[in-house]
Amino acid sequence: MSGIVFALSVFIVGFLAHLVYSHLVVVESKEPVLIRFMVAASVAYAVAYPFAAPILVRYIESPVGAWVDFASGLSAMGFFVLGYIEFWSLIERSFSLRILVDAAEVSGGLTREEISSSYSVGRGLDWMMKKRIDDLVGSRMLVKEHGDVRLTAGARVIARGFAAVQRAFALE
Amino acid sequence: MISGVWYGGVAFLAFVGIAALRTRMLRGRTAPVPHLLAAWLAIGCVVFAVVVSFEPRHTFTLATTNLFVYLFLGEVLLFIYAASLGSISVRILVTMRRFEPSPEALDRSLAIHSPTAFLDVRLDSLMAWGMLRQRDGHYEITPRGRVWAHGVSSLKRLLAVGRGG
Repeated sequence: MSGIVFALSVFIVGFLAHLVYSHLVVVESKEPVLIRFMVAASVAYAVAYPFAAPILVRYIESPVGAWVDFASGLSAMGFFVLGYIEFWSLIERSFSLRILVDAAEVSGGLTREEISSSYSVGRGLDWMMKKRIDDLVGSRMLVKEHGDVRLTAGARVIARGFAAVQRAFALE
Repeated sequence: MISGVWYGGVAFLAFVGIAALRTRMLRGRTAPVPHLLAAWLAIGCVVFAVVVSFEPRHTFTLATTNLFVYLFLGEVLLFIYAASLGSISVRILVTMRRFEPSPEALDRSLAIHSPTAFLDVRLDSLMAWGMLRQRDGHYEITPRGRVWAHGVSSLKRLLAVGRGG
């Protein structure tokens, strides 16, 4: 239980630090910054746990043993971090929510073509697709070679994994 | 000691089974992610209740550790599931792998997963959820959709994510 309390504390610090940084520093690509903050928070939990746990057990019941306490704290950390990354990504890049926000900014409604061309304050669907491709290149999933765009070895492994999930859950 | 994570692990396996069954049995009939989200939270409540019922000592502590083990594992599954189902980037990667080593793998993938095809799917979903309505060839936002749009805009400002999209 002390692991969970400690994980919550570390996550709150990491979350607030990321929030303040996001407001103070303007960066072109925001997602890698988020990932770095959350990875740093997770590493901070793992590194600081051995020092924090002996202090916390004086105040919090911890009957499960150190390793299980650490693992449950790590699970809590993963739960908070992954939840925040998913929520942030949903707000930042959700296709459906962006359409909704665009539609709310005009009176009288939009045709399908107008939605397509005015997507994300006039940048259009082609920009959206270009952004997705650029993000894949930026995250080293795709690489440009001699004018062609190819999957990297890591991307092939990830693609194989997602294909297996799609087959398992009949999502193809 | 193992009772600290055992219930959570078993509950996760049950969630995987339910997710697989649900997607195969109700394929294409209902929106899958909200249902799985509801199942994930409901099983979390069951895990907590079961531990409270069966563990006479350190009840609250064990219920909490098991709950977080289950929530994390379930969240990973939901993340992978939702990305497999709805992420444009994931769809492009999976399709590209199928077309490689063709040098046109990306172009062929983009022909299948075109932005207009995604737009049609999302417009249908937004209308099914009562966020948009269609009138004289125009998509209009409903009062419900306006509430959501306002909430999303506020969150975009709070999280400083920019316009996004």
